[in-house]
Amino acid sequence: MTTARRLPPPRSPDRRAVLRALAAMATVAGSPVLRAAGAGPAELRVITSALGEATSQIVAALTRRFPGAQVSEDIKMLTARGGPAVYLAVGPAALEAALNADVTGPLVSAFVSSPAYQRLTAAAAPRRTRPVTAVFAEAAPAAQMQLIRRLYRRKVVVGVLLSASTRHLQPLIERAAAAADLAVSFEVVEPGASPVRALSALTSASVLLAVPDPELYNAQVARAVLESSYRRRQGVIGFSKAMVGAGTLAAAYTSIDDVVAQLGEMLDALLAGQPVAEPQYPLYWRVAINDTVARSLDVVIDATVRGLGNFPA
Amino acid sequence: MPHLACRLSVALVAAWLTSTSASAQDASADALVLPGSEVPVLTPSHMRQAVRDIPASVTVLSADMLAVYGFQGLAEAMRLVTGASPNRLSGANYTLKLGNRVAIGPVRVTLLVDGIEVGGTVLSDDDDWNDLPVALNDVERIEVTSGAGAAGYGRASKVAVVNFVTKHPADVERGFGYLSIGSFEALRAMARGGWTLGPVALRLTAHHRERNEIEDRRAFTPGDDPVSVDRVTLRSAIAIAEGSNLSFDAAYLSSHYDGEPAATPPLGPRDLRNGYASLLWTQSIASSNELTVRLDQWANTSQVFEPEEDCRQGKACEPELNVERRAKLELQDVHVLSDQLRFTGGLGLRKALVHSRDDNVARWSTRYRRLFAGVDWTPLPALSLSAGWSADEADSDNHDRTWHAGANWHLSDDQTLRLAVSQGDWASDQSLRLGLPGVLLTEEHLRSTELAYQLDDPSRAASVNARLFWSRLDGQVWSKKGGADQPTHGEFYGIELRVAGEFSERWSGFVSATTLAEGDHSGLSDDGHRPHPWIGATGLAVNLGDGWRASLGYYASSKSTSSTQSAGRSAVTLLKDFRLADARWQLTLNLRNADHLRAPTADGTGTPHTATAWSYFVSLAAAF
Repeated sequence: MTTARRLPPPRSPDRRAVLRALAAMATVAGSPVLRAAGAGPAELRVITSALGEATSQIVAALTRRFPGAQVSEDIKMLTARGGPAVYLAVGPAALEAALNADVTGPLVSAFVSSPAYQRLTAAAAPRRTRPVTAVFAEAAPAAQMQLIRRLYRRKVVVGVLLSASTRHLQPLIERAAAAADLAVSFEVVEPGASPVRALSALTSASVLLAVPDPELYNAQVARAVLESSYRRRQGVIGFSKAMVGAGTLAAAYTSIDDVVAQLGEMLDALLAGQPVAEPQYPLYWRVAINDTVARSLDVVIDATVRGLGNFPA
Repeated sequence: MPHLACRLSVALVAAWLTSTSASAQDASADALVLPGSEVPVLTPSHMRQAVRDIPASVTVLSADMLAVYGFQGLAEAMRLVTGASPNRLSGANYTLKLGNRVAIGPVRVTLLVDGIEVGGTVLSDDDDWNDLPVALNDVERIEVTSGAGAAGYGRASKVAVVNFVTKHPADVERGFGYLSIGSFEALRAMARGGWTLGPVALRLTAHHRERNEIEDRRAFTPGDDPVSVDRVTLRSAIAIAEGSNLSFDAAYLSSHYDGEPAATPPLGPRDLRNGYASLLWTQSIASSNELTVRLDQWANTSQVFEPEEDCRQGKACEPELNVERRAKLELQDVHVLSDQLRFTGGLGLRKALVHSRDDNVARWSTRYRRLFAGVDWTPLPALSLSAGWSADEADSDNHDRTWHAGANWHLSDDQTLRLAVSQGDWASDQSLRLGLPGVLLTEEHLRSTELAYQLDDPSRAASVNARLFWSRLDGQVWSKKGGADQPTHGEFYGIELRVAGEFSERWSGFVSATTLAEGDHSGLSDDGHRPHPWIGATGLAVNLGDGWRASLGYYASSKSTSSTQSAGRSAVTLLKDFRLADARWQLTLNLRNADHLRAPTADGTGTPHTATAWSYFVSLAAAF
């Protein structure tokens, strides 16, 4: 039986203060260059998409870490500033805009899932002239596998649905499963096929690992996938905290502060002129559990599961 | 079946959008919700509960487990349930017939298909599980509730509830085919399709089974004669709107048994037809409140012909025709007050009709008014309390009332201690009105108690279930010779143990045993003996790799009455899963041996002897 439980509202910065800060940044566009707090020769320029509540939180966290960062939705305005710079694209829309713009200097993608990053960078590859890297939005498969191993406390079969756009994740997931002493079973959903019916090929799995694939877990299908797995008493491991609230058993996820902490380290290095690193999964992560689902599926959650993760200092 | 519909769409839209955009992971979900429109396990409290919180002994048999151990039918799958003998499921092989085992009493097991009550014929002491309108390959899992908790379903006479949960229409493959051949010229064939048409998901199954006479048994048992069975089942699920779902299920079975004129006594051909239609509507009224309306109709027709030899000797050859129908309209509301306290309640109507024509025409029908309520309270994280009550009332001669209570105390994350008590009273004049001959059980008072210990070690997928149980029945039997109702009683108690687990990454197994004893002055025994029947089962399964799996199972029971004998079944199964031409295939080879120590005549007289039957089955299934 379910209980509608209103979660506490997300930690929200003063939205007007953020807007004021953005306006102020825009007005000083022609003023002397504001250097990043990391102290380096280059400037940090943050490209955002439309300002939503979550974007406001991200911008607030970034400006706390980099008070001198230039933040704008207008990429032309940022590129017009001239001088050495490191660009940070927040979200897929901003990344797409940055990839298609005439920006110089390294580009860092943040809060974009790995499949979306692969897709966008692949589409922009012919035009790309500067180095691009990323901190992906979702926790690494290794983190998800650690969570599964701790949840089930034994070697279980992890089922994974993939589509053509996420098929490249298979070796990575296999390695993560092997490292966590788990077995893994894949089912690739062909274009036009039903992801829900494809689950029938994963009945031997005790748990289903969801990957951020819009062909498989879009708004129309995700509910049906969750219901189907639940009918089979398979837990689903989500890739965001929101999915746990929506009914998945658990997720290894990263908070905004976790990502910003990692970005801080990465951007400090870039601003100091160091070479661009390979795209990477979040270094820091934590765990969200849906206790009601866990209880319903007879999965006992002990304290070690709740404390799982890697937290910034 | 009780459940709360979820409100996933909004939350999942948010989940997906936030995870692929900059909105990021800290965006809050709209609500803490559970997915699914089905209850994981049917529970005595009529509410969604984890197995460790259910105040009853529950065994869940998965479809994979049934496949690994090579079961060919629903009845034999029960061998995996602790306390179920190789041949039947009842109170640890007790047929629970009051009046020194001669009284005709009710069927003791409630059979459900997706919560729809099927079987429960009043014209026989037992349902033939081979004639249920559900095919084994359609079964997702079987949930068996036994002991005191079985009263929670609201039938005072029952000692077990078996719910066959079939594959949801949205979950099945687009196409599935199955073919099995084996001993006794046995043939099983099945075809199933799954379709999704907008908000509607459909599953349609056609199944055929035929088998020649089981001729290498030395004693004939009804059911051993040549048989042909056809089944068609339809299951649908319709998402009407957010929080509103409708499902329509229907099934039809037709079977023909050739009979055995040479048997003692001779048995004529039989034609059986049964089926059901069910409409279930669930409406989420609020996030913590859900309404369920169920309308079920079940019908069963049997036609028994005289053996040909009897006809030639001048006996009337008109078949005996029996018709049974049952309809149920039930409305249920589940209200979640908090994470700690939940209520359910409901009302309904149940109508039953039996029309029997043997030497004369008899008819019985009754309309019950039904009320039920339950509560599930978790005062402490380690303690779950449940209680429930139900009453089906027609008139002074026809009623069915139960109450049950249970406490689950979690000694640790892995250990649970459970206490369950129940009491039921029922009365029915159906047998009297139908003019059934013999000694008839007309009224009964059944009390049951169980104390159980459960250990689950997820790290080894290991579990230990131990149960002490006790039941007492006080009843009234009517006999033509004796005249009015005579009081009688029966009492039994026993112990049950099941240990299961994985020994390694490849090996898993289980062992279970049950023994029981009958109380002093109990009227269950028919010959003055106080037998201590035991039932045991063990199984071993291994994953050989590369899609190969194998299992070995042995199931046995001792003699428990003068009319039942010790029996043993062993089976070796080899499976191969593979992919070919975009389809998933499963090839199964099943070799089995049946040992009976049985009487040479059906009436139990004569010298018992051992009969052994070897049989094999080869099956191939494909899903695409």
